Amino acid sequence: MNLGSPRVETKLALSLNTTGISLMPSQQMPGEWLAHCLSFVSVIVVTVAIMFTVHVEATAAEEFAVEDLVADVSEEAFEEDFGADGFEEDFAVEEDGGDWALDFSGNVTLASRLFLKKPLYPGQERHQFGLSFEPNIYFEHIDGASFTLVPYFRFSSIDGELVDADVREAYFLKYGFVDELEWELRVGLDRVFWGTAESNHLVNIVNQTDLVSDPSGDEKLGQPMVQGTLAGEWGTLNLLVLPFHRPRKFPSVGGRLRPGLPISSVGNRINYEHKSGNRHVDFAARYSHTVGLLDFGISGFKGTSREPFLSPLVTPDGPILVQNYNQIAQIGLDLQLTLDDFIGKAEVINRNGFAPIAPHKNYSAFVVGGEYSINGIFDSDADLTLLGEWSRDDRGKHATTPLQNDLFLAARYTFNDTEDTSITAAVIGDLDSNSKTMNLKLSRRLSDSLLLEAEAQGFLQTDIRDPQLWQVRNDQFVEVNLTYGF
Amino acid sequence: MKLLWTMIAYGLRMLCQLTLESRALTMPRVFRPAATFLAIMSTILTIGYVNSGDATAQSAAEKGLEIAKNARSADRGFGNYTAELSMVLRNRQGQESRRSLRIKVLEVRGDGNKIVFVFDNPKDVKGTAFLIHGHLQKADDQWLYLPALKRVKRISSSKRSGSFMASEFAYEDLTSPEVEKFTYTYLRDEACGNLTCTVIEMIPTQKGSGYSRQVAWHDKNEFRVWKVEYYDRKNTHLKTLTYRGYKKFLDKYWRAAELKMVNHVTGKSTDLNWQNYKFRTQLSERDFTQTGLRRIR
Repeated sequence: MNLGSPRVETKLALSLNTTGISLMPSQQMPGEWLAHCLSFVSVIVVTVAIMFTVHVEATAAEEFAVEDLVADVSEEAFEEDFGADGFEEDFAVEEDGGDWALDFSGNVTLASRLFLKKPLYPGQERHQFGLSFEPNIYFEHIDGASFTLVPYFRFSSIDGELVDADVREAYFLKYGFVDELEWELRVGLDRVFWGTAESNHLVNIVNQTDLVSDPSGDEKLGQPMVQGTLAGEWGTLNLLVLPFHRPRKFPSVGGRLRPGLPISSVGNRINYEHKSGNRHVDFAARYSHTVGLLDFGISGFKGTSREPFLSPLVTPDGPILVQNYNQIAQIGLDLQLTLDDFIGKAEVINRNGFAPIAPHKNYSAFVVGGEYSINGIFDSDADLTLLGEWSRDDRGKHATTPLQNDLFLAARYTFNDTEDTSITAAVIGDLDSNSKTMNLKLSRRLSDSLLLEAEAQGFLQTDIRDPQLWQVRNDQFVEVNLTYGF
Repeated sequence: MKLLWTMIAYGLRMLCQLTLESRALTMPRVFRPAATFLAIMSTILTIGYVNSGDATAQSAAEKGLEIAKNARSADRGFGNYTAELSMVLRNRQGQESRRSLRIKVLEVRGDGNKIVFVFDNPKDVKGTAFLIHGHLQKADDQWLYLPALKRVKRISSSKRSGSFMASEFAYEDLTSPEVEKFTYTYLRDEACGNLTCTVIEMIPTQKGSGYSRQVAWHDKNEFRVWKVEYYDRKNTHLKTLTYRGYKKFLDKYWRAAELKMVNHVTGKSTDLNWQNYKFRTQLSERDFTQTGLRRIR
């Protein structure tokens, strides 16, 4: 098993319908105001936390080759050098902090993405460079209540998105037991993951997607919420009240992997169906349970769609796409069947009200597949995992996802070596056209604190009948990420 | 004694059979029932011998099982404990890399133990947690929490033969040694250091184990395990685990401070050092739930 690369989730989602550019990113939605306010507060908390955990330990030769780089990063960020060894120091604070314990960790990621072909649209760049910083500050009270703060800062070489500050998590957590009934309450910004599939996350609806930091759609924005959980012998029930809506984050003018028309992120061009706009209170719930080898979850969502319906608009500056967030009702089912070497997975959704026109009015989609593991292949320590998933959306060619009828096949080779090296090769073939994309990922630990990830995405064949892919046919890329954890 | 009986029985039987079958020989009628009786008796005796041969095999199995049960019951009643673990992984060239993690163990009456591992180092796996609900008869339930994705994944039990954090320990080497998970054969007594050890062979009963058998050395005084040899599915001697630095906790429970696993095939080794044992803490079933896995720090 490869614990070293939790992020190597073979995912090839090119949510192209939702990629685009923001014309004037400086203008923010009222809902964003909260996030920015919180990120300002978190800067202060981070600084306090750093001063609180002054642990500069001579960790000698560990960061040798990359020491300069890492030192630069750290100094640039806040003139502080973190020791490579966190645990003892983190919990040493417990003794001084009285009733509160503090744990401070996080990571700094240097990302460089190079596009192999000329851009299709004016203003797009060949190369993107990003530096992100995501500290994780955790306070725990002696009685078990805790507060978690995860701000997120990103500096990008692409104009307009030079600095992106956000709060991924800022929640208060309390839990307890009433006899055999376990309860948990989370209040604040948090991230929630629902679902089982690897290539297509249909059921996962609570958080908004950040396509700026990660075009695969795996990176999520913090969602303000009150989340209650009840768990017992009968299963687990999650109830969520979501009082704010956050619009999807799209790449800026220079961004690649976007459709021909730019998508406006300007506040007054984002349309909400409901008169309360982004302040509409959404509800979500999920019941999950395990019956023998089967894990299942039934979920429901009622409120403002996370995915915008894009419609063209002609402006004096030219045609653009505007984001429309309608009121939807979605029910979902996710399944996992865990056998010895095979794990079967499925997700199904039905969504109502995504757009007032057919076929978006009411549609269903599913992803079904599984993974087969060969442990200790060729008498080595290595494992080979074969993954296969079929995605289908009944809107067919009108679907707003590129995975409307696609087959995902992947092989992940985990070496189970000290460096937790793994290689994942994936192919997605469109069954309605000749489009085929491939993706190659490599992950390897360089030292206790440094992780190297590389990714190459290529289009083996692009077909005009697959418009989602056709619009980005020149956006094949090679990416290298270096993550320093502390 | 057994041998003597056998010889007598076998001799008698041969004699009687010879008597009965040698029809050519004229035999007084009186002798025939006597010969038949003797033949039956000797057959019973012979069967008795064969059965007594079985009995020796059974007693080796029984003795093996008894040792395993004694070792297990010597450890019963600890309730729960927490500890800090550090691992030193060495390759054939002697290059080292380190891991640090924490462990929480809860003893469950009538079922396998519940275990949580929380990883602290290397940093890219920091906060990753691994939950095991051990079972006696069926395969253990296992979940992995990935903090970067905030995702709890149920893990297939076939993963238990896989390497634990790229060390020479497999997951199955670190779960609690439930008696029901093996069948046993007592092999011999043998000196181990200043102590006398019993040597038993253990064959896994559940499929999916990476081993065809294990051979374990327990001392006769306290039933502590000192050495385990692991044989892979092709019966090659794959690894040897040795225990050092035993300390007694709560006046009853022995825990080793150093475990060393050597892989004879690859030349790699892993030291597993246990620190900061704390017994009978506040831990309960409530700290080992799937929902709680998301809260673990």
